[in-house]
Amino acid sequence: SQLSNQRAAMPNIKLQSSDNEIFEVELEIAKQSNTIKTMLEDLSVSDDSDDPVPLPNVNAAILKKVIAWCTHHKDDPPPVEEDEYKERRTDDIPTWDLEFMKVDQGTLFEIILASNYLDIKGLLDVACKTVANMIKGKSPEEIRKTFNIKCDFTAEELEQVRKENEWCEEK
Amino acid sequence: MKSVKSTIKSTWTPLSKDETNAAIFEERRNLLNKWFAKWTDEQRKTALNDLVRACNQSQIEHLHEVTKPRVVLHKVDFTRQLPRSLSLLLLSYLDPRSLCRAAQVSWYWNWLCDSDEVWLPKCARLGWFLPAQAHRDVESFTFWTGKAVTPGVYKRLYLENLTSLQVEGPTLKEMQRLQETARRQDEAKARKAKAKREAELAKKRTLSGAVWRAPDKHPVDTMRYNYLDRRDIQQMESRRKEPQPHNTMRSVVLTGTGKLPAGAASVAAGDAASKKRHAVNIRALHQRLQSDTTVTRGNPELPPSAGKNFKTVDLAEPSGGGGGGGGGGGGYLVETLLDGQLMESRPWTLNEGELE
Repeated sequence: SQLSNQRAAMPNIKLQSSDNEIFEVELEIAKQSNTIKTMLEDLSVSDDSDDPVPLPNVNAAILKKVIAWCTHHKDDPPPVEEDEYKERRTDDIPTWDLEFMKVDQGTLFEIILASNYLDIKGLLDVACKTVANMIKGKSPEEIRKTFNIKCDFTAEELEQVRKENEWCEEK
Repeated sequence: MKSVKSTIKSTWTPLSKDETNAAIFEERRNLLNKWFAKWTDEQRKTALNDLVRACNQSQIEHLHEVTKPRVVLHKVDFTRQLPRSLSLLLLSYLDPRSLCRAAQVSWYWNWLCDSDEVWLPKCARLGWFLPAQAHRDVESFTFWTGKAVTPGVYKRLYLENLTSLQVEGPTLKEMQRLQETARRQDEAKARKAKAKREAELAKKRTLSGAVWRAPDKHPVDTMRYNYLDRRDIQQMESRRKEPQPHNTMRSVVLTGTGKLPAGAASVAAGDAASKKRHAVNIRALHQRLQSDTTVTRGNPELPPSAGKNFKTVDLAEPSGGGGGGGGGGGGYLVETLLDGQLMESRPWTLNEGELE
């Protein structure tokens, strides 16, 4: 009976990735995703139902990462509703998250897409900050190199754009 | 039959014999690999393009399967992968300077970085808004056309407000002022250091003159501390031996010593006769001192009046005994003072003959 009590206290939920892999996670952890939370509430899925929740936009590798992040942050206070116009800082990423974000760019952008789809505000925030830090303090040419972007300006256009944005450089 | 069928499809080798065929293919494949290994990157890519163009669907799919695990997406232009809204969200984390730099990357980045979605929050945070009508115009224009045709309105607003604030780097004049201040500070510092150095040197110099300095291995001033060579001592000695120079201010103090003669004792008694005798005594003393002495205490010409001239000399005070001690053994101690310093102390005995 103790076991069943525990299960009642911590009900699990099954999540199905786009490549049909099934992950069983605690409901509390899964509910950090507003998408899953709303889905469960709206559909009034009973806790003991065994049907996996399909997540067709997230593959197994990324879902694994997302679950890892949610597990580590399960005790975090819910994100405060931030002022839309607030200055966004990018230098306040916790150490664990910094380590967590040490992945290749493809994975990073997939995490952004997944956290956006699953509506996990904290993860999206950290991922965006990580990308922003990759851009900050770099010259246009360095940004191009970082993200493998081809410069499609002509020489004259480039000069004009440079002049237009000259004002924010230090004199 | 088989060989005929094979030959029809092949243009490069008579496929009459399978083993020969395989051998030839193997040889040419090796040759191709050898060439490929020696080609430059560009040549390889050209060759690969040709090969890919020659491939059919199933071969392309095979190629995809083979290459998929090897392709690591190291550098990805996220603006091409993410929806526009997410790209804008990402860019909204950037500060104005980074945004301006990002705007110079490519056309698409330029369009994203100049968009109102990114700049409006930055303006709003600082309380900079477009006039209501203008904002409505922008919005309605966007609404009706379905696209932002006025990108950069809020970026321009930001720039103009910033310029009106005159938030600039240090001007040339200010730079000069700062440099001047820095130069003056450096000079003051140098002056301080120099003063400190000199003070230390002076300290060293005083220390070297200190009495407790370490013994010198090669002393040069030993003579100075030789008693016999001390000039001040020599001078004192010679002064003692030399005759007293004339016309020197000198005072003679007469101090009573021992027993006074009866005549002297009578001075204390104060009768006129003894006073007269005492004056004679003084005159005799005066003569004895070669007349070069000014007797300041007790004028020998004048009879000493009690309590005035001879008081400090104690001449009137018989040290021997009160009521007129007899005997001629008494006398005076003559002290010669030169500029207040005791130079000489000489006993002088009064004789009866001298008295009168």
